[in-house]
Amino acid sequence: MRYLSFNLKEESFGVSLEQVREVISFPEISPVPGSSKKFLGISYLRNEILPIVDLRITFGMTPTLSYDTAVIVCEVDSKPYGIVVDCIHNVITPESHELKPKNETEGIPDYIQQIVYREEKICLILDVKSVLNTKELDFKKLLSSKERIKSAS
Amino acid sequence: MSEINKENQQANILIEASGGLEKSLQILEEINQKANFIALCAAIEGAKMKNRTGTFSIVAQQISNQAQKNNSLSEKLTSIVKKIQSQALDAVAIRNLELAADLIDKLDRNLFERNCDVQAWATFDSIKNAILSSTSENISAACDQLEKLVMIYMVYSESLLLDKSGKIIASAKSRSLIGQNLIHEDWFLTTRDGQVTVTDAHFNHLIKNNTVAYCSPVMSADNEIIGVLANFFNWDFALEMITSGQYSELTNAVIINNRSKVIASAHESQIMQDHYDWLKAGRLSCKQHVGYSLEKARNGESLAVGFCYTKGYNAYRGKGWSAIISESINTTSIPIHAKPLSRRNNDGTTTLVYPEEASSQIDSEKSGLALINTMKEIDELVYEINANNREVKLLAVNASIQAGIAGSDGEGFSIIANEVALLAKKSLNFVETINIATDNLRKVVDESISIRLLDAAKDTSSKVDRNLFERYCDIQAWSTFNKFKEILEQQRFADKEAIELLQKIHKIYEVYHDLYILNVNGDVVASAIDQSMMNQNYENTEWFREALNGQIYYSDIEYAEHLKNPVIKFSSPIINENNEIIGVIVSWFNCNFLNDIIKATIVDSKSETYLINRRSQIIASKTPEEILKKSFKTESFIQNFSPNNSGITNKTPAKNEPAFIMGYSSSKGYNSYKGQNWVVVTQRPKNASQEAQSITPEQKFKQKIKWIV
Repeated sequence: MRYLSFNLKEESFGVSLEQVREVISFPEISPVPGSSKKFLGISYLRNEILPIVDLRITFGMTPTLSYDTAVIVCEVDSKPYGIVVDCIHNVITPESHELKPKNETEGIPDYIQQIVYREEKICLILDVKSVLNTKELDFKKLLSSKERIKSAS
Repeated sequence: MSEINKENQQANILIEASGGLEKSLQILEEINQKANFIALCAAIEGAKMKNRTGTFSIVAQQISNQAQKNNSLSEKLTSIVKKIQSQALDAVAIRNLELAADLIDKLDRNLFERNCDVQAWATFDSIKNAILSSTSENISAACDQLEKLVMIYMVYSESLLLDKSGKIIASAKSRSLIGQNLIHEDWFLTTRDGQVTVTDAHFNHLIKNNTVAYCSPVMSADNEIIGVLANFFNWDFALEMITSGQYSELTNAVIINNRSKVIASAHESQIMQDHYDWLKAGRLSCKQHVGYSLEKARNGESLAVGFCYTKGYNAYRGKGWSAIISESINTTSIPIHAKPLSRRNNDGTTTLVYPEEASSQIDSEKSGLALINTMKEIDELVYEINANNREVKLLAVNASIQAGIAGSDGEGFSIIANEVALLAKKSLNFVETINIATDNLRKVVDESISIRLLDAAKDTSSKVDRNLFERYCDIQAWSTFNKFKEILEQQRFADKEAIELLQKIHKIYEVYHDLYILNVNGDVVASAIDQSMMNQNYENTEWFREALNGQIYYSDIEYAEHLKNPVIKFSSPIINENNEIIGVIVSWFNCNFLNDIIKATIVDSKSETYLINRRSQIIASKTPEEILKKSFKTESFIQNFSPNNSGITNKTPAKNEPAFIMGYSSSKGYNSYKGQNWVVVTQRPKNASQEAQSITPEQKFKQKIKWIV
């Protein structure tokens, strides 16, 4: 399996390449009135409508914009979604021993698909579909589960 | 010394700094080559994968687009760097123009004084008497008088008195010249016709030295021309202006006459021998132009040249000379061009454009500032390159994504992905390099602006000293007039003749408010202009007491109530044949002429120049209202000033005041005039030299999409 790793507030996350089409820089966005807060608006990518979702807002954080801000174009149910993240790293191919089974630690949210423990760092692989479908996500909760995973291993 | 060395290198540092930018261009060139190559490989790999998915070819296409974008950025950068390099060269040439303008102005001011001296000396009774009645007694009195004057002023090689037939009848130094006839000399003939005549600089066989002769007709009491007085300026004092100029080793400063002959230079072999007609700057100077040029020297070296045609000073109209300052530049290729900025006109006083017009032209052209503006363009471009870099980075990720999706089939593409990532890294390095290069250049430009402030402060300080030295000589010379001694010996008020004499010298020199003769009790017994001063008593003033004690005295600047003007007082004892002090002569120097020197300081329009006395009061300024009314912020350097102290400093601002960068130079005196520890300060608001500071790319990025948050 290969994953695309990225940063959200100095924490490392990833998504499976199966869910990724490509990455783009922060595009021009047309806001859509009345939509939820995390949904910034729509953009166009090669004549295709691309809804843009801010991952920071999704996790209840203040959105920022920096030089490194980028958008991961993911595919959920054959439809593209743009996910705004703080910074994109690269494609990683973890060895099998670097993959941790999810059920080893309690209370891991469902939207976490996989845990990669590599180079003494934990990278949580998010399932884009459940991230998009879950209403309230708490970043602190996510961090604390990360801590638990760390102490468990 | 270290300070001078620093200035020496200034020109080439500026050029080197712009060269740093050129080096960064090479890096960009490499990046471009690489990008083009990668784009090609990506296209090939993309074509191979076409059957699997269309996304490959999209990424391949993007890589190729990116490579093209890089190319156009690099073209833009190349043109900006070229612009900066030529502006850096111009900046060096313009600095030389400023130095040339300083030099010719200094020379003009000196020669104006010489022009005055000869006219004043021709009014001495002992001079006239020697012609009217050439008894050995009268002749020796005239010789003594001339000898004394030449001694006081120090700057003359010889002074000769000729009768109407051209025969030398008295001399200051070489008595053996008496009896020779100079009727064949052009200057003699024109002067005998009633014209004050100044010769060009030449080697004079009579006095065996380089000189300029200043000649005035000698008039009898009933205004008839009875002879000619000729003062021979010791040309070494003109050379001194060049050697004291602290020019760099790579710089050659010369004065040329209106036929482009070198008449003054630090290189003795050039003087009266070399011609500058091979230099564009030399030819333009002869056509009365002021400007700068970049051209080749006779030995093939590159030169940055400033040239400035004389503008004369007050009544002295100049001899058509020009100062040319040429600096050899450490670069092989220069864009050769010559840029005349203004032209002096022949028709006298009304149409002269200097310094206002020419200096404002210098200002708009001021390449230091032009450079700062160009650097803003670089900042823009760096922003674009940065944005581009971000795209390349994402492109690298996209390439790996595609390679990852394709699995083992995508191996070729994953190599390309790595290459693109490397490219992004290199491009990042490039941005760093160019940032360092522009920062460096910006620092050098800032420095060159502050060094100009220092140059200007030094030059102005020296002009003030030189001017006051002349005043110091004047008062000593005038104390020897027999007419004044007569009235003092006879203890009476001045007669018409004595007053006319005072008025005449007052008129010749232009720079005095008034002149007074006082008796030993301190009563004014003669006045040049203000007759209401007669009989006023000045017994208790410092200037009177010092002179009565036998001192040649000069005051600090003082406000004269009845003149409603600041003045500097120069006083000298008047001494009779028996060496007794019988009175005092005092001149009230019009301080507007100090303001005039301050105004003539060649700095850009954002800078100000002040003359400050020991009590930190402003004593000369472009704005006369400030004089003696405003005190200068007591900066530490002013408190600790000592003669011959100069430098650059930052003025820490009080609340709500802008920060300044300042050059300062304290008076060192000139010849016998020792100076008063005054300081010339030139200052420029700091933010003005930091116009270059622009927003960071990140700020800009945020500005561009600020609708979010």
